Amino acid sequence: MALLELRNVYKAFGGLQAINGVNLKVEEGEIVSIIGPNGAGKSTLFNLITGVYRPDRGEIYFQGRRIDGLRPDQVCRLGIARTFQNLRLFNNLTVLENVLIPQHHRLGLHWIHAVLRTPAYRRREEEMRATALEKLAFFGPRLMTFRLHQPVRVLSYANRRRTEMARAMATGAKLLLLDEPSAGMNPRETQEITQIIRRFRDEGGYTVVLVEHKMNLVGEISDRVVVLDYGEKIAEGDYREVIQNPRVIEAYLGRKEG
Amino acid sequence: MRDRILTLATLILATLAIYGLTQMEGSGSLVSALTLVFIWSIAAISLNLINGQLGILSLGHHGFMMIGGYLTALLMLPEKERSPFRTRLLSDWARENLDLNRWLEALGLGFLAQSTDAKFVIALILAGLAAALVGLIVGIPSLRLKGDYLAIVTFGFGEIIRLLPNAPEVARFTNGPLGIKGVPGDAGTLWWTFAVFLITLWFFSRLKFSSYGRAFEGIREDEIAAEAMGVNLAYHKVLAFSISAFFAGVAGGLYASYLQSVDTQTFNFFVTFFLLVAISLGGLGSITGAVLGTAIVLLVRIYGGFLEEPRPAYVALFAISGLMILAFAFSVYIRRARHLRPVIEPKHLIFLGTGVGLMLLTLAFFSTPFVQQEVQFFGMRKILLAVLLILIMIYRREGIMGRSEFSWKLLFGPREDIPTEEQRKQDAWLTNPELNPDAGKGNNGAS
Amino acid sequence: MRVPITTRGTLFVVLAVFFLLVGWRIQALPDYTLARVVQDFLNALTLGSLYALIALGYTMVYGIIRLINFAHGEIFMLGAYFAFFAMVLTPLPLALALLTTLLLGGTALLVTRSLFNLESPKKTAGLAFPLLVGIFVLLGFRQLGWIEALFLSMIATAVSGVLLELVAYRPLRGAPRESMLITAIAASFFLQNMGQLVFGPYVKGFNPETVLNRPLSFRIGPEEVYFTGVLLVVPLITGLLLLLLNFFVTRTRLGKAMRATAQDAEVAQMMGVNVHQVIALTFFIGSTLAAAAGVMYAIRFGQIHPLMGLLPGIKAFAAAVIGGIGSLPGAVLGGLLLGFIEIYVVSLFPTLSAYKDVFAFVLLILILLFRPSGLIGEDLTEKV
Repeated sequence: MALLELRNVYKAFGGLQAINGVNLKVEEGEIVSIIGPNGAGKSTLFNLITGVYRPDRGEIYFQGRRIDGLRPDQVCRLGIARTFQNLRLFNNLTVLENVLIPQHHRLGLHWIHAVLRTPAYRRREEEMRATALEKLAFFGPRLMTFRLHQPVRVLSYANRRRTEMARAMATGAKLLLLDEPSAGMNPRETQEITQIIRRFRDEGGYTVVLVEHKMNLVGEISDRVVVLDYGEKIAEGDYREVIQNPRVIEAYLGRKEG
Repeated sequence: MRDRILTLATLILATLAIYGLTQMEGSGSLVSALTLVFIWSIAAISLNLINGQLGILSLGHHGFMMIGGYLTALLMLPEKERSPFRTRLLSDWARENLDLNRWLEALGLGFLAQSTDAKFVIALILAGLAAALVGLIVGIPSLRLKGDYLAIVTFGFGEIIRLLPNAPEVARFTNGPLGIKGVPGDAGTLWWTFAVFLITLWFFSRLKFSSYGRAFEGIREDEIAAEAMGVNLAYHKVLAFSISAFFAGVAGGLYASYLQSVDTQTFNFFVTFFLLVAISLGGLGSITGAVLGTAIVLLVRIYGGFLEEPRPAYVALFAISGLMILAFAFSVYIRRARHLRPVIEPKHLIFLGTGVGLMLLTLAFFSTPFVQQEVQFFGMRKILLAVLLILIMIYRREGIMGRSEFSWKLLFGPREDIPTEEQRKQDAWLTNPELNPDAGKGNNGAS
Repeated sequence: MRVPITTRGTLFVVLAVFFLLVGWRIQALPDYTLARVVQDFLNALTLGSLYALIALGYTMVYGIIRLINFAHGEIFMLGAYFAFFAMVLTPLPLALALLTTLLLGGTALLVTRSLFNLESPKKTAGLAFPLLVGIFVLLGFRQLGWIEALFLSMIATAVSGVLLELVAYRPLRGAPRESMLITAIAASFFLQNMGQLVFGPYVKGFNPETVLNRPLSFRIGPEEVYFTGVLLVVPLITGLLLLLLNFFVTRTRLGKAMRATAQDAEVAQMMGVNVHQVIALTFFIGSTLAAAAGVMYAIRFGQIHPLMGLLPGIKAFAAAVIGGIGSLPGAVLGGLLLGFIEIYVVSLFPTLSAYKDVFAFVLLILILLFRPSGLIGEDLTEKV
């Protein structure tokens, strides 16, 4: 059984058919990249999976459970977490708080416990803190010491990206959806992100789906590449095969005249 | 440990101070001022949960307070005040049944009815619960709406609640425009309000620094991200509204007891406005700020009476011109501090010119009856509050405290968000390729 | 899942419900005769027009800077008071008239100079001279009738509106919308209390001697319908002002700049529109309309007081939202609708008359909840 499966999904905004009958299967432990020109529907696809939008037609399954029509927080609870294309962090909260909030849904205690600070609550709080530190440790010590207590807004762009990924991991998800994880990063940082994504799978046991524009990153880590154009899946397979595909070349570069 | 001792010491000191104050001769006005500070702080702290922590501008707080006030008043109203003569518009049903004594008897808890304090505890809790129920209903629109539209909806709810007691059908339960008089004043005393204030403080600070508090703040920072991270928006918003309304209801009940009456004018929109000024001044999102802001704003309200006393017109004219010149000086100061050029803008010169001109004119016509007449500035305090709020919004939106709270650590402890020398060096080593050729390879430090 | 509600459908349903209710109650209430239907219709039309005039100010300001100008009701109140004083205090002693002229005219010129791009001294003088002389003549020589007072009041109120924008709202450009709303509420409180302080907290009579106040009547069957000229003039003036406004917004250069700013202030600025000016202009026009509404409201009800702007202000805001905030015809439609609902609810359901103010809020909440774009407004839902 595939971890994530999209069956014939459609989504239109007004007259614009943003997603046009997409089928997609992601197996556990895979790293799948979704590429395509601007406006091809990549981010819409993420929004459909995470419940921000509801598909007009078609079904989405996660671990065999149908998830289309669920709210984003319900989808997150089932084990899908995401990052955003233009960073949506809790800017005035500290790094630690940013990584604690996604664990809130697993607290499992009534708010009375939180106010009374019952032993059960204290224990959970300790555990949540430990998890937060564990996830931040993925990115080396840079977010671990004093930055832990700094508000996110003062961090560098790359550190914010890292915090956002740590935040997604902290939800307890199995599947990470990364929307352009290397956007705005320099080549060195991109290189680092590539390593991190690989370690997500190898060390963290996550399955990763990412939308990305930087082809060398995609080529380096993807087990499989899916190409979208005008809301349709035009190619799928190994990176090297896919970039040879004439339809893909056409989508990116246009048809050769004559 | 140190923090606990300090907190305990402060508590004991505060209690002693309050004890001393109640024993002192002629401290009546101070006692009632402090009582009001406690009552309004409870309301401000509760409003702060929605406006500051959840980030939803709620303008219906007076409605919640009103429900608490009326319910407490009705439940606690003594037998002799319940006569048809005293409460003309109240229906017989309400007169008979909205009585805590009766219910306690019916439940076989008649012994509780002996103590007014015990009855107040129950009445206030019931008042809070009733307000919380309404808060829950008012909170539901927050699931569909955002920003200023939502603010207007909460305002609409608050106004509907305020307008209803006058309507004939509802007046059967509220005694309409006549209001309810003769409410026992036991819960409106310093000790009572102090105790409830401490409970409120404890409750809200515990809530703020818990997983739930973080979830609220997450919603304030970015609703979409919070939802994507598994925070159930509907549950948390409605929860915050209910909790906030509960404490607003309790504050309303205390206030009704303090005034020993309620009517439809007790809780008008000015109440919410007043609280809004208080929490904006203190710093939206900060509990400490809410208390601080309330204290300052109340100070203006209670001790600002001299502003509204009758005095010769020239005093007022001089004050106005003086204020204009001050405003000019202030804006120049601000522009200098912010390194804006030109330091003196033409429009600021208008202030200076008007101020100086007015002053000269007053001096020139000093002996005329117009300048010598007695004038009185009613509502000066409200005007001052309004101006204060506008100035806060323009010049210091974060208020006094920002979002931070008072803590002993803030006073004495080391700051965790500032790197030590060692940490700074390590950080430089991590990020600077000249020092560390391996930086950016991804595995640094962790492996 | 949001059920799509079309504009036409909503309008149709609203009107159908309205007529059905009226029809049902007319045959249910024996003393509700045709004469009373006509009488109510006149009253509703007038009240609705007044709400519409105020609502236009709300809708224009909201359309352009997304600010619910809570203080607009107070601007309306100022309009009535300025006209009142213009009628009561004139003729002023010449020295005082000169001083007032210079103050009022000077501020008006300062404010409008940037509005109408009167950068060249010659042009400014061309406007300034007639304006100043006009104001001086009006103030100095005889007691004013309500029309001249209305004219003066419109200038003075417009200046107040622009000053409000300048002092309270402009420094907050780019601030969170909640902060702007809080400021607007504070401004509203400020003006209310300032009004009480300066004008006195008491009700003042407002009964200028005009033909408009003379009671008239006509017969329908056995009963008579009473009315005054105001009942007829108010809708006429409202219609006229609306036409003028519509022409201005759609046909003139400044009007186009205004619509561009409403679409996207930042881009408009890059395209050479002076956004600050355009916003000030919006306040200018909105306040003028509010002044007109204030004066006519005062004539209609015969009295003014410093808190008179409160309820009409809120109701007009409700009207703007009902019509679809940001849309000019929407504001007029909403205003009329609210006027009709208010009058007919009281008339057809006498037992509900205590709830007539509650009703406006209920309607406001329902509209915001289920159709926040109003009856004919654009969709304002935020994008993810």
